[in-house]
Amino acid sequence: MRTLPATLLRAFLVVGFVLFISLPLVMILLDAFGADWFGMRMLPAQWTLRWFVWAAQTIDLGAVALNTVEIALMTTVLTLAAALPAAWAIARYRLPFKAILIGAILFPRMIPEITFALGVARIFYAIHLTNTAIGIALAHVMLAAPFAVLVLVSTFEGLDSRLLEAGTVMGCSPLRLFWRVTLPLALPGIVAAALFSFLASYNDFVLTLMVYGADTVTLPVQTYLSLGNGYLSVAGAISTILLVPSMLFLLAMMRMVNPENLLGGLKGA
Amino acid sequence: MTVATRGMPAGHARHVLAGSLLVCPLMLFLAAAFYYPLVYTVAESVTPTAGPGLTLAHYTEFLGSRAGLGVLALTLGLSLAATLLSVLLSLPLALLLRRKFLGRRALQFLMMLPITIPALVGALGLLILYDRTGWINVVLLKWHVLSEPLAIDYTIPGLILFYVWMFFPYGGLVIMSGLGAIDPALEEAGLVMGASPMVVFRRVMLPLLRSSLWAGAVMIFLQCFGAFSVPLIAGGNYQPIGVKIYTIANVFLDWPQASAMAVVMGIIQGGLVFLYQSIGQRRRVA
Repeated sequence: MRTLPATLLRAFLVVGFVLFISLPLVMILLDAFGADWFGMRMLPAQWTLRWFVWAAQTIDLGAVALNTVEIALMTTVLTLAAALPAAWAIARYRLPFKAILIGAILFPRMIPEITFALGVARIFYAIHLTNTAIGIALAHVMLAAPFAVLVLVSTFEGLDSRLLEAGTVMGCSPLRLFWRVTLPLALPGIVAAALFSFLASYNDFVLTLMVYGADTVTLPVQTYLSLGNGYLSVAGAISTILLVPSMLFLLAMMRMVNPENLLGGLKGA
Repeated sequence: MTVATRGMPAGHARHVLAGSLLVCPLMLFLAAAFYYPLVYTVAESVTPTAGPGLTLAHYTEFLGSRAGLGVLALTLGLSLAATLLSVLLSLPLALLLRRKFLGRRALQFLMMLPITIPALVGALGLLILYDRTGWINVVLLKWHVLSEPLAIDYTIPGLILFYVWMFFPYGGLVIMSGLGAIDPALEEAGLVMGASPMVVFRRVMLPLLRSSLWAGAVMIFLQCFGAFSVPLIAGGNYQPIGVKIYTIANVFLDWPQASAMAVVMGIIQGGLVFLYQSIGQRRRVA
């Protein structure tokens, strides 16, 4: 029993929602690829790539993008190196004070970034870690590790113990067992944790803002700097580049997990 | 629990030791780049501007001054208004997305976008869209809804609108999961018994959804309270607590004052997280 007004209302709701969410991002694209866009115009008078060229020439966009990717990769490696063994221990070992331990790992996600970013800025400055890629990556690990541990713990808890035991019984060495049985089974969880760590670092603005320097400008920081200098379209061009990994990440994640389970990890600021 | 079940005392101790060693690298990272900075911030917040000793002056200056309380009031007011509007937006959307239909996944994708992309990018797009010469104003002027452009950017209502765009998905997701947990038979029973959909919604669905709605609301509030990028570039003269802390530290270089405000912010946010989790526990029990 579906009445016309109800259908119309639903259609109105859907269209309104789609416009509400997507138009700001359409604006970014128009801003980045358009020129002479002012006054009462709906669309830019001409289409151009000049803002990207500008960005490449005047602010060395290539170096900035490279910095961002380098820091994000470092964050991913550091996060996995620390989170994989920790999650394995939490999932499969009997540890004392396990609840407190998990709380201590998740705590960085519970308080505002700026609260500990102040301390990070002061300490890293004192020991010359500001304006270094490794310093920024270390700070980003605090954003990535809690969620990575959550995902990995639930992955490892879900492993079927009988499969691992069967491997051992059949004479598999521990190392071989890990490579041939454990790793393939846990791979989706590990990939999700890695992708998330990369994105958390790639997109981060607050912590980076507190510890970056002239040699370690990242894409989000550069967007902010370009805005501050009044180059709106250059900021738009950089934003377009910033958007790509987020979109790919979301597409990949929607295939792998229920969107609701991402809640713990995504955190706007 | 493969290994844990073979419990001889000596084996058990070795087992605990091995587990602890595995956790070590992560704890070292956390200690170096989170807990030490956190303690540093707290210590700095009680350091006098000049001279030795401890002081609470930075706290009293923040919590005892009109300016300080104004910052808190602005932050809480913005967050509260944005939370209310977000819940009102999330609820019909969650109800809509419950049904399977063509394009449902595309809508889910859209819904997740604001919290996946960098907040700075979203804020920039919002600023352009709601500018005096942005699409919203141009269309409303062309349709003669307005006779002159409406100022939305850098106003309080504008900022609330931007918060809603940025943070409503958090609530939407929580409410969606709450809806998913409700047995469809309950709704059908109500409809079969002759209640109108409106009555079924009010008398059956809403009571069952209450804890999800609260959890969603607290989650959105939490995000609004901690907002930084959006008010930084789109707040204009209005500086909620996160932006204020940054300004005091980086522009005025008054780190002890900024630290005290950061500690207050951390405590409020921690309390909200606690609230969210206790609601969550009740949801699981129910």
